Amino acid sequence: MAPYATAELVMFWFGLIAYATAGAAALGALLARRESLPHFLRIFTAVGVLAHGGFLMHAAARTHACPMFYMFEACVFAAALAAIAALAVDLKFEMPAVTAAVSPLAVLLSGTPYLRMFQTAPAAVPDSAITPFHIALVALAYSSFLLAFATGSLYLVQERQLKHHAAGPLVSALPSLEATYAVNSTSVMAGFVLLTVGIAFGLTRAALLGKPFLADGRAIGGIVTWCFYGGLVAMRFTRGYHGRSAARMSIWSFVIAAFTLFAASLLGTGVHNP
Amino acid sequence: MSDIQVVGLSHRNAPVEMREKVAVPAQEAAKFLAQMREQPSVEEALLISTCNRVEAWTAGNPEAAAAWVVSLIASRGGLAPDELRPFLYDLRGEKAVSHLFSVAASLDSMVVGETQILSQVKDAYRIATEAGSVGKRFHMLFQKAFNVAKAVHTQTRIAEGKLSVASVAVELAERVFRELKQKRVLVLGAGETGELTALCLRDRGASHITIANRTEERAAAVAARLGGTSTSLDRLPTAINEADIVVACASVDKPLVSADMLRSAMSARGGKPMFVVDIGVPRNVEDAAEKIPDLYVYNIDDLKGVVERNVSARRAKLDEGRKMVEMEARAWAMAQLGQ
Repeated sequence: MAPYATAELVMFWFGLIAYATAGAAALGALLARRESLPHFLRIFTAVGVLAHGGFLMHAAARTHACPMFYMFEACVFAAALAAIAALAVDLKFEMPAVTAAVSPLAVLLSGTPYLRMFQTAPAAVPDSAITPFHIALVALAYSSFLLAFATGSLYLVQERQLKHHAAGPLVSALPSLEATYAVNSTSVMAGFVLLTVGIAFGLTRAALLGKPFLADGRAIGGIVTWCFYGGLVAMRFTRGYHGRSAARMSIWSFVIAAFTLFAASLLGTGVHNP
Repeated sequence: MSDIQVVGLSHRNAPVEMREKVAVPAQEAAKFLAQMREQPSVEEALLISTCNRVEAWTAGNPEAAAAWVVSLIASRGGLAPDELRPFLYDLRGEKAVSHLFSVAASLDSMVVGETQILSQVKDAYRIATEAGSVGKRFHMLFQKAFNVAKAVHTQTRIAEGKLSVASVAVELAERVFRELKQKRVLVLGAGETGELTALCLRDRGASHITIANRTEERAAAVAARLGGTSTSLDRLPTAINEADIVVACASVDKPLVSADMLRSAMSARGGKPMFVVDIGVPRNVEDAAEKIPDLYVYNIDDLKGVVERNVSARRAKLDEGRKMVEMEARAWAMAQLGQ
């Protein structure tokens, strides 16, 4: 069990409940189409971000360490970043559906690692000055991929509605295909660049420590994820891979990324798990 | 409270021939208000005159005001008061208040939920205020009516959902594209419906409009009206390749746009979506086109289906709106009694 103070755990749970409430408010907004609900959605998501930010900062101040050395903390950080990105997109382009889609995912991303088996798994051992940068960049990349997953899902739902000539409240509640795709595409690209730099930092760190980078489950998982997203980016540039196929690919890439991230955490020792 | 009264006629009880006879144009409203106030029992006066209704609102002695207002309205149409009376309604007190709230909230409109009526009532209030015929009672009443209208619209969402094929097509195009500003629109056929749809798209920002028609002169004439360009149907495949939105409404015996034509256009677009509105009967676009990925084809039945659903949805919200209005009118009446 990671050593967290009661205040930190309270903030963590408070943030988790805020994200969950935002998700419920989003569902309510879809069903009832109340104009005020998107505001609740945004407020609760922002509260979740603040609470989880408080949790990480409190832990950092208390332990005088980078608050992301545990998988659990890195995932809380990534979820908060994804929620911030979603809120930014929502407020700039008036797309509450993006916040609505990201909030429940933030619950999953920050809540799942709290399970006992992941809670003590380190994101990386604090053995080098560049380790925090490595973790932060990878967390940023995963938050972008989470946003891409959410917008990819929204794209497919809206695409299906339009293709089947549905005209329910869902069609007008969801953003246009073009707008959703623009956010999806930007998120994939940003995530890929961040992951590339993050992996480069990880390779440098492994080299500095004289450890084999690829003898580690999570490092291999990271490379697999990088290959998938790299493939998606390459397809977009070389073959004009857009629309439904690209949205679907961004969803599958994230499923694989999440699977490798968590599955690899349970594997044996390596550069992440000494 | 009981001194508030409305005498008028609307689309509900008077034919258009009668309504147009007695309608008062905006530029003559001030004069009409002055005539209303010549009767000493009319302490406050306000006139709502639209294509669907003419209503004279008064505060003062209702009996004397009613007779005077009826004679004024009748004289505008060159009618005797008794000729006009079968078409008139005369509501007082809480009933009048409830009626005003319904009118402002567009519950009494021909197209329930349309938003134009609220602006028209606001204009009528502004004109009467400028003419000095509005006092404390009407200030309070009409401000309340505007608030009630807003609340009804917000809570029931009665104005949601477009009610014409052209506006539904535009709304759907905006579900596909973020904005229509830079989108290229191709209109097949130079008929009225196509022109209207193109006009709606242009109003929403579409700036590149091309008209393709068998008769090029006619295409050029429509293009000139819309500020677009014209092309020949011989160049159809190229024109489709360049378009983001296709509005097909040509008069044809067999489909003008083949699935292969669209497949080739979609392949060149690399998965970027395209929106096709086929409002021609017989249809202009081959059935098989619906299966092409990232291409969204809506025919006239699909669009009419959306319109009908929107009409039903508005009807369903009507009862909710009426309940709100009745409650507000009752609360208003109670508050007035308390004063």
